[in-house]
Amino acid sequence: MSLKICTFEYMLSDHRGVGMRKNFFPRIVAEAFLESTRDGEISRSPDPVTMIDGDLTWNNNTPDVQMLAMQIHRGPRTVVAQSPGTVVIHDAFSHQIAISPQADFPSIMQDSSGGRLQIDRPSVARDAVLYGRFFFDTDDSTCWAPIGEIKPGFSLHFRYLAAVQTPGTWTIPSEFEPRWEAHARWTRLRAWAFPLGSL
Amino acid sequence: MTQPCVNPDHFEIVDGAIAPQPWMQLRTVATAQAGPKSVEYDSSGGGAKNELVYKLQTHWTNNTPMRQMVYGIVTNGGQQVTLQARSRAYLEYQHGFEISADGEDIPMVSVSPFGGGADIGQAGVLSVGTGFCVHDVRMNSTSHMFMPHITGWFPVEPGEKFNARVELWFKSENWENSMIDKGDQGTESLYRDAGTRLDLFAVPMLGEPIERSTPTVVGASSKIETDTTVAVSKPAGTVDGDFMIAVVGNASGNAGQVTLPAGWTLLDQYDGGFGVLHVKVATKSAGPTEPASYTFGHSGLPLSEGMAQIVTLRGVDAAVLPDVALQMTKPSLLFGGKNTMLPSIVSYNKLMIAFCFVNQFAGQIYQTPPPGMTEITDDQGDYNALSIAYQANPPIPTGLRAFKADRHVLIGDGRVSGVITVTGPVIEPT
Repeated sequence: MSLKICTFEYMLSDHRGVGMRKNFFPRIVAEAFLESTRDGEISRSPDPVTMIDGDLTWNNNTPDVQMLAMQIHRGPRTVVAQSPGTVVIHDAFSHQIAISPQADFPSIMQDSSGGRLQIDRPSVARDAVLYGRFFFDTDDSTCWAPIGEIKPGFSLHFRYLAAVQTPGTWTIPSEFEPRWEAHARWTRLRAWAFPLGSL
Repeated sequence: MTQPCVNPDHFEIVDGAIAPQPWMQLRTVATAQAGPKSVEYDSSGGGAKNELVYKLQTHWTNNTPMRQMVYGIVTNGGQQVTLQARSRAYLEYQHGFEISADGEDIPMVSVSPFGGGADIGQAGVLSVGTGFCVHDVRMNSTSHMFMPHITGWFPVEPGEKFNARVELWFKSENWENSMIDKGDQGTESLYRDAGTRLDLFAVPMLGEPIERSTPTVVGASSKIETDTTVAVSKPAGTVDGDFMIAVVGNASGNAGQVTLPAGWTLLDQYDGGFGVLHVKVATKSAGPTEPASYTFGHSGLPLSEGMAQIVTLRGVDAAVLPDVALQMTKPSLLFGGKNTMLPSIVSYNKLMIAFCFVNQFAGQIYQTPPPGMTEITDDQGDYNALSIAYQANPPIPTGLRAFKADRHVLIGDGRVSGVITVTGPVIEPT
């Protein structure tokens, strides 16, 4: 029989004793594994075309403030670009914290993987295009996105988007078979929660 | 109501309720952000690039009663390097930190580059310029560890200040500046960077910190010889249990001719090859019976000088391998220079020994030890000079500091400077 003592932030006292509440420890509170729906050969796409799209929500149902950080873990990315074209896979994310959050559609920015090897000028004619092919492979990579403080009862809505785009010059050669590819494979989202500390 | 018995360093009690102190957990303690930045260059002109894109610096003072372990994460928002053929360049991160200092002169180390380049094989007498080709690579946002080459986290004692600095540089290995066949319409040379964020985190450390004592300097001896051996006497006052560090070197023959006497262990060496600089650092724990002098090998070639110096230290824990780093500075005929920089190392050892071995052809050189250090020896031959200095409880990292010669070091094989740190045994709690 133990004495129940009075606790506040991040602690718990019950019939088994006194100790740290679960929300005191850094931990994964939500996770999502997203797969690409559009891997393979692509055609010209001046506007980004969605490859991976997904979201994650988490409600702070603990009695204390939690600090949240999102870990975005991308799979290996592959791009094949026929000269003079460019192929890139963009990553974008957005989030909102509210009682009933609804994050905006993630907008594409300077966060992309891929490129080009352009050996002809944009002015080249279809039948004069030189043969050049660009292969770009990356290993898996991780990015941390700090979300910040989530009060008890509040929720996070996190949205993620991977989209393929072919910005700039695009000439389809007529004298040989061109090839453009994009593989985004997968992305894993993990939401990590920490207690609020002091600076 | 009586309050439970708690350690106030770990828990706080407010109005009878108990909670962990806010520093008793993993948490973000400092953040800095810089960028984005984007620069476009003329793709048929200009010179090699070595430009600072931006820097960010932050610090955290341990205002808690606990020792805290600090680590950092550097997050980049995405990068792009697009270059005309033959140009090869990259965006390079440099990291640096300093504990309990003003944080103004932090030694930086290169961490990771991103970029690339292409060549389309246009060559020959008639191809002075290059052909059209644009190479473009882009990298996603990434997070990497701050100071990723150092294992472990950084201990920061209460009251100490941890300074962290991240710099991003744009550097070219080769920058194509000739004309491009048929003009430069449609070419590109640029980089884009979406910005960098540095987050510092702290985790409290439980248990008593391990304290080590600081060794002391007993004495030193030095010798210059043109013979095939250099016999340097045992430093006066050396007794059983003392720890000796020898710095020996020459600028002739082969490194293999700079032999060590029996009982000495090679710690590190610089070997410039035949006929140029050789510097060896060796150690020995003094036993109950030690000879009056130690004989090191030397090439014995005419006019060549072999130097040997021994420093005796007391209170060294011989079970802890010394940290050591040597650095070669090439001679410069045009610019000379009086300062010889020391390598900067991260070491938690308590006593720092630094030396500078100079070879030159223009007479004797006298050296002044780096700021904050005390001179032990300063020996001059006609062509070589060797000085050793020490400092107790050196900063972490040891810092980019210089031995200063009394005049410019112009012609010669160069200079080898080095840092060796040793520590005393653990102080047992009383």
